[in-house]
Amino acid sequence: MFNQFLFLLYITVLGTLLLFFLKDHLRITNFYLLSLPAGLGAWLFFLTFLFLLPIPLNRILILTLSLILLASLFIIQKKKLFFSKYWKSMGIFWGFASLFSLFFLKFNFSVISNDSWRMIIGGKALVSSQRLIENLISSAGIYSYILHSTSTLFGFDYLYALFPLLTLSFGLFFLYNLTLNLNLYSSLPKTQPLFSSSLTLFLTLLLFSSFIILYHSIYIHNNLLFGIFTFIALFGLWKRASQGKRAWLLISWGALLTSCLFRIEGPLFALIVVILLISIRSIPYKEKFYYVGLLSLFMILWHAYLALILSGFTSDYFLTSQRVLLITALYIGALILLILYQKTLFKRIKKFFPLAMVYSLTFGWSFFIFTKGLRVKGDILILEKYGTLTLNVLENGGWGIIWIVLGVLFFIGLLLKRFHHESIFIYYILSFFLFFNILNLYRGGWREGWGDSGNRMLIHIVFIVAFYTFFKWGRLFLSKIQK
Amino acid sequence: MNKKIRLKLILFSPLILILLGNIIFIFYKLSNTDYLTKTSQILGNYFWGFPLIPFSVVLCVLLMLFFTRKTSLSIFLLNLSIVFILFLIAINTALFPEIHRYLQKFDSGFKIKKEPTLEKAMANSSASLSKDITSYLHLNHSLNNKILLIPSSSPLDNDYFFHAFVSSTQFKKEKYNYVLDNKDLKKLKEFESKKYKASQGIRDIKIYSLFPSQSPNEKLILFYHNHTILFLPLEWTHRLFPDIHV
Repeated sequence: MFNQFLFLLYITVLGTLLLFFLKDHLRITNFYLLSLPAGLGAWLFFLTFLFLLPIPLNRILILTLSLILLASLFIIQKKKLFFSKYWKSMGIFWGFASLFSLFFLKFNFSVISNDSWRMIIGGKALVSSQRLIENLISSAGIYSYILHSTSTLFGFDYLYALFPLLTLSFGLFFLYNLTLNLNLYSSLPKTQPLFSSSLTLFLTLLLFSSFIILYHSIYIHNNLLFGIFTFIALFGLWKRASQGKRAWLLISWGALLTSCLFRIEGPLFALIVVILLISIRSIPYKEKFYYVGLLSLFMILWHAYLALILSGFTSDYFLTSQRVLLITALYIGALILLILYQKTLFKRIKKFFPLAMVYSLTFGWSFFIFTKGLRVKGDILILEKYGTLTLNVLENGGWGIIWIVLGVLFFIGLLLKRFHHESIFIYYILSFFLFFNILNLYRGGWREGWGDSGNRMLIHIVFIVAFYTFFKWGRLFLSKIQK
Repeated sequence: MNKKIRLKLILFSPLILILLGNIIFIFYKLSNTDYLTKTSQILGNYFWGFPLIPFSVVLCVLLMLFFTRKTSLSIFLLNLSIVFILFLIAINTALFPEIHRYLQKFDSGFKIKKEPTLEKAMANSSASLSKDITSYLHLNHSLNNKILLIPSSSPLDNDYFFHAFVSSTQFKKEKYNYVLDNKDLKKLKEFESKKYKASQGIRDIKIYSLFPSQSPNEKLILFYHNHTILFLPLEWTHRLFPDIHV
């Protein structure tokens, strides 16, 4: 337990020191609430990098390098840190983080499934074999295993306390930013912040007290992690576009890269964010260049490396060498888009890119369901997946009435008064569901119950849909308050 | 009509029509199955059943927000949200026994002194398991960890699962000292060769899940300390361990 506590404290401190570079550009609450996700993302990137090096990893080496990383961040920022007024608040924050870590370590409510076993054991196997095992990398995102390899490296059994801790941190982040942005965008007088806080507290608790969110907070898997990092990525993009806060674009980039490596389909969903970014006029080309360029470069190099490992390997899992090459080609396409960006024709049509993306996905979905649906043999089994999904959303998937309420409020909310760059949310949500429906046709047999893969994937989008819906309706009701 | 609205209609109408077309096609194709019946039953329940209560409370509060102008409402809302959330948690625990059980464990949590292990996680999740699967976890514990039941989705996983367990801090091979004798091994091999073709035998293994939504009629893998990994049908476990009452 103590070793796991040290690990959780380490990634919290790491995240705080990393975000310290951006402290002048972030509100202090966001600075602290993002520490754990930032530290986790940085740690996973660092550990993956070490795994790719031809050096044998052992506990002593990892611990030494981790401390060197932390010390380096201290030294780089020593002048700012030593004279900083943040020491007191950092101490209080780390104290609270420690307390909550101890609580979640003490009371182990974790649940595991076959997938969880695979991730926990796969993580241990990575350390023992000192290589990327083909079975692992073709069945789930590499971070799913790298995360659990920490247990062997830090000397504890398995990582269970991270998930509830991260859910708590993210829940507070969701609450704070919903409140903050409602205050910014509504006509509510500044003398009544308590009113908006009450409303957002009510809505956030409504969401986070639901069975499915509570269960995912104790379930050892990657769905919740993917959902959290995807939300931060999209939210950061929106903050940059609507409020001009450049630091958020960097945070968005880091979160998107992390989410890509948690799930096999992560890079494909990340392309939706890339298309949205390219189409936003208020973000200068230079920032887009670095964002898309670096992300594409990472994805191309990573998938080229995967293609090398998987070549000649017959996989029964999701990621085959052909699909890896497809993802690589798509990111090369993203780079080509970036190069063509400065052309005049491109400048005229780039604002239609999100719409074109939605139309492409719609036509793609139509093509697949009609071709698969019209085939004589096996068609009904493929389309039955949608029936199973519907039953999961309505009853068997553990969502309660979340999707009914959010669905109705979302569609009616589309008619309400718009806010700056609202289309970022709308296009992402629409594209997500379209692409999700296409993936639906290619994944294995789906089943009723919360554990079904497709049902769990809905957690990737629920926070984004909830934030958008609460924000739209919150603005409406707050605007009715008189001075 | 406003030019902007007209442009949006032109751009988005085909999209909406295609999406509606897809949904209608799927409904049409599923019309001979029971999915539509089940869906309409569920929706009917939602409108007339128990979940209407929290939904109505939410609606009332939103309407109050809409019409009121008093700032003291914020204090009221704060109190109401706390009460409402307690109410939701109470409903959740009643409707979902798993959460209720985990909250019950909160009391026993103070007595936990041992460091949590993977076995603990398995035991935690056993509360929601079906009887058969739970019995195999009890079997595991009753044998004092002589045999560890490891679910695996593919025989190709065996090598690294084995190595992973051997190198794990918790699961040292010395712990497992139960050996099947040659007679038992022979029976197992005969069973395997009769039921499955040699080349396909291990590929007929299905995924074993610890959750009740999965059928428990799957194969398990037994891991022996002599590094032999065999695939064992569930019913054979009783035959191999007749003294163990599960």
